[in-house]
Amino acid sequence: MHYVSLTNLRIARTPITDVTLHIPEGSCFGIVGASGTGKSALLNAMAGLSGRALPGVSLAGSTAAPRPGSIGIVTPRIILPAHMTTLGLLTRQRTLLLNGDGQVDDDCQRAIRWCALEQYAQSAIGTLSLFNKRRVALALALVSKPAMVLLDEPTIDLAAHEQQVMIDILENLRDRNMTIVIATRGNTPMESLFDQIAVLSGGKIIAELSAQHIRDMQRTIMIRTDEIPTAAYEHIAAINNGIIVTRRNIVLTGEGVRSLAQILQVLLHYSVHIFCIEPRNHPLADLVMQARYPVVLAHRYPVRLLTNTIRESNATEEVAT
Amino acid sequence: MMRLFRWIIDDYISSQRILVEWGAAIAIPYLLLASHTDAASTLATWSLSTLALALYTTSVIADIAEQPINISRLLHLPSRRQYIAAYLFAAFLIVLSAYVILVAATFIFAPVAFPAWQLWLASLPALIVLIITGIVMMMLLTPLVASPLQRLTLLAVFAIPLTWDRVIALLPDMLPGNIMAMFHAVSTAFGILLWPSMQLYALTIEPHLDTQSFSLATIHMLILAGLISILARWYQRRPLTIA
Repeated sequence: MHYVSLTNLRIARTPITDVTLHIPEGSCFGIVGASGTGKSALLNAMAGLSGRALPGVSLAGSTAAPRPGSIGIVTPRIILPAHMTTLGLLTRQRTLLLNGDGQVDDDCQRAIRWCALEQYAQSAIGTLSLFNKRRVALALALVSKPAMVLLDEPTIDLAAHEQQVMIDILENLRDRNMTIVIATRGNTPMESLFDQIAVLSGGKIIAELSAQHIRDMQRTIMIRTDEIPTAAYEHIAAINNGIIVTRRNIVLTGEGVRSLAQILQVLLHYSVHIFCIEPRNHPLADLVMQARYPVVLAHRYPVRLLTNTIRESNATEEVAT
Repeated sequence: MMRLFRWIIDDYISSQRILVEWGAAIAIPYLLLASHTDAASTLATWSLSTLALALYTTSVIADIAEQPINISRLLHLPSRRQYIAAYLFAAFLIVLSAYVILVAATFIFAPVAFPAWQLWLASLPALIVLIITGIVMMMLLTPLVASPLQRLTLLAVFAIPLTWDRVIALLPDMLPGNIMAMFHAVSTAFGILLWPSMQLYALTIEPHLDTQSFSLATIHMLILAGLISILARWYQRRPLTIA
């Protein structure tokens, strides 16, 4: 069952010209594309903010407007009121749907817990850092326990360690049976979050990546070391073809990445000092770069693969019934 | 919807935006009416300044309603109409509060120019209808509700009849006669649309209860209903953006 279905979607005055997309219920779906490709417009359309009912948009199997509170949305454009406290803002948002009873408190506390904001619950939002404000915005989207959360560039403008915490929070959300859609231009290595990815370019989905594709995405890791003894050098070079060894650096690509643990064991065995281990590419950023050549990318990750898989699984279910 | 309405008012007060309206409501009688002795000019000042405050407040309120944080509240409401209605009510209440302060400040700063209580009370119904019309019209002129083309058309309905005489004076025989005639026709047609509001404004200065004023109020209420219906329809179709 897919929660969002977009069929030949065209949105006037946006780059979106023909988007067909099916997002399975309970999945974490990534929409990846360069700036200005219409990712945000797609999120607005999914949230039902396009005004006219757009032909080809269906949420939870219905073309009607989404149920109040069933969609949460987080974007960097949201500016929170500085004078309110986190808890006050969440309570206010929650009581739009419910009366001020025990459930409101429970829901607010839950949203605070999910976003790891316990120590900032009573803080005025104006005193919080950008990262904490971003988490408050996420809690605001989660407070009514929506069936789907839409996130537009959730890690943009955050420091690297803050990005990791945000990804960790989103990973925890993914396990709570919520449909999560994240639009990103690939500037943060968050590919591990996604069950599926669609690449947007020229107003269309040009490629779709399954979970297996995401796992198999090309990664490059560099290990910086002290001088590597010849014996260790030969040992490491013999492990597999995806390893390039120089006097002080080891670069792992493709298959070589899978041998990281083995290489570390060899280095430790020969007492080679390791300065750092760092990723040298972001697979999502690579995807956005490759989207400049849609034919190549479409050949590698064909569109409709996921759609067909979904159709096949639906057909199988129907036959079984 | 009532909760949203209450929060809009809360936000407006706590963000101190309300000080502009309340400050203006105190300054206007102090600056404009202190030396007056004529009750008619007091009523005219009240009407014009309240209308001006209604236009200002509505533009601020529409700007607030367009902010992504507030649009995200829309996702918690059953319909867009409730959302826009809450903001319209909020604008009305803020203007009404400014009007009350305006009257009280006039009583303090310009007691001589203060009209008789009966006269003031009689002018109130027409003024309230005029304020609501001003709020709805201004809301229709904001990007929250209308597209640029819709706003330009609406602006022309106001601007052409109000400024036509001056524009004509600036265009000495530059355009062919038939084009000028067409402009005159458009100006007259738009003028007819504005006429009830102009009459209602006159009624706020010289209030009287008779068949003519009753008919005028009825016509104006019908126009207002039409405007509210247009507002609801336009807003329903307007694309909004959070992301």
